[in-house]
Amino acid sequence: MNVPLQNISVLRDLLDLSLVAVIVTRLSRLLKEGMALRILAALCALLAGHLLARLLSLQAVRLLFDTFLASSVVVLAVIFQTDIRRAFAALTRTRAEKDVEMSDVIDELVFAVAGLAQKRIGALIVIERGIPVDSYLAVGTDIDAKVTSELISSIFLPYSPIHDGAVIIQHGKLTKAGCFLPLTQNLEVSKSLGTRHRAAIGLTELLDSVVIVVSEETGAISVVVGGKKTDVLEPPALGKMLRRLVEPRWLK
Amino acid sequence: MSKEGSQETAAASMVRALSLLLAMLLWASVVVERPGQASVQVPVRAAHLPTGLKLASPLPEKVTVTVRGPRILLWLLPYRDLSCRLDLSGASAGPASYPLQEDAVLLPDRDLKVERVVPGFLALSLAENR
Repeated sequence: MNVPLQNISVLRDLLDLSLVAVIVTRLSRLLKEGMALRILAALCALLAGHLLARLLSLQAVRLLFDTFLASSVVVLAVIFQTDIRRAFAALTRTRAEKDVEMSDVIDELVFAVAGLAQKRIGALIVIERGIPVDSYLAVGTDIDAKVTSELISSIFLPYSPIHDGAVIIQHGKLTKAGCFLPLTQNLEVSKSLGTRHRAAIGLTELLDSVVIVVSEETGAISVVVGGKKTDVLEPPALGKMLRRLVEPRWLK
Repeated sequence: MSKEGSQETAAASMVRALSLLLAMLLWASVVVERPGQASVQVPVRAAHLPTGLKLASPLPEKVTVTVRGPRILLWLLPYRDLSCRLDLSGASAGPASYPLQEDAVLLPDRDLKVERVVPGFLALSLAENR
């Protein structure tokens, strides 16, 4: 084989391998990590067994592995029919529908924050953007629920056991509550600011998240991004600001 | 970094690593099935020698067999216990040339095929056993 043809063959193999890697990685993201780990490990073991049996010409063992491999597609489809249906639904949803969903999340947030501010109930809401916040959270309670103003309001009510701490919104869902955030170490931050504001500034100094703070003392609403606090006077302005700061891709 | 956070990151890295491993195994299982060709030296054994006859000239020690099939099956071929069987049924005393057919070599997998055997004929002399 001459050199250019050999190069094409190597490139084709690399392209083949890369595409397979991308497809497998994307598919594994549809599943929860624990489940994905178990399934991937089982499939790797089956494929390795198939290769070994083929190499050593162990016909019966190969038949066994090939049968398992062939039926694994059907087995996976049956086990994950709900996830597959959801993934297809997400693929076929139009951009307009996604925008409506984003608008829903922001509307619910604005409505909840307005209510909390009116009643002078302190609140701390973190909206994750590009960088995951999980590594910076201490304690907290897993929730994994749709963002609704009722849920947010009830979390921050003073007699709620998880009212101290932050609510985390990841991919358009309320995933955690009662989380403690790293406080800012910046000496230039005004001493008049309380723990909620210091936590909001501390987290946003480290990450690109957007944090909404409602002051317990004054009922004032602030938005903190990149360690900078901006006071928001009216709820509609909060909605406008959030739509500017949070792109739809971070809410899906 | 919290303990929960680092565990999640480790799990995500494991998923990525296993996805890559699965992709490589999947790709490898396709690539190793590509057809290839290999030549191996195989000893010759006489079979079905008629009673009352014996070999008057020695058999060549080895013949070259070219095998075609999936590459994965060719890798271990030199380490297999292969032999080329020379069928002498119907042979008579005196010098003669005997063909080495493709089916004279018994291969370990049905996906492997003998492409050719060199030499294709063996010149032998048989003598009566007294």
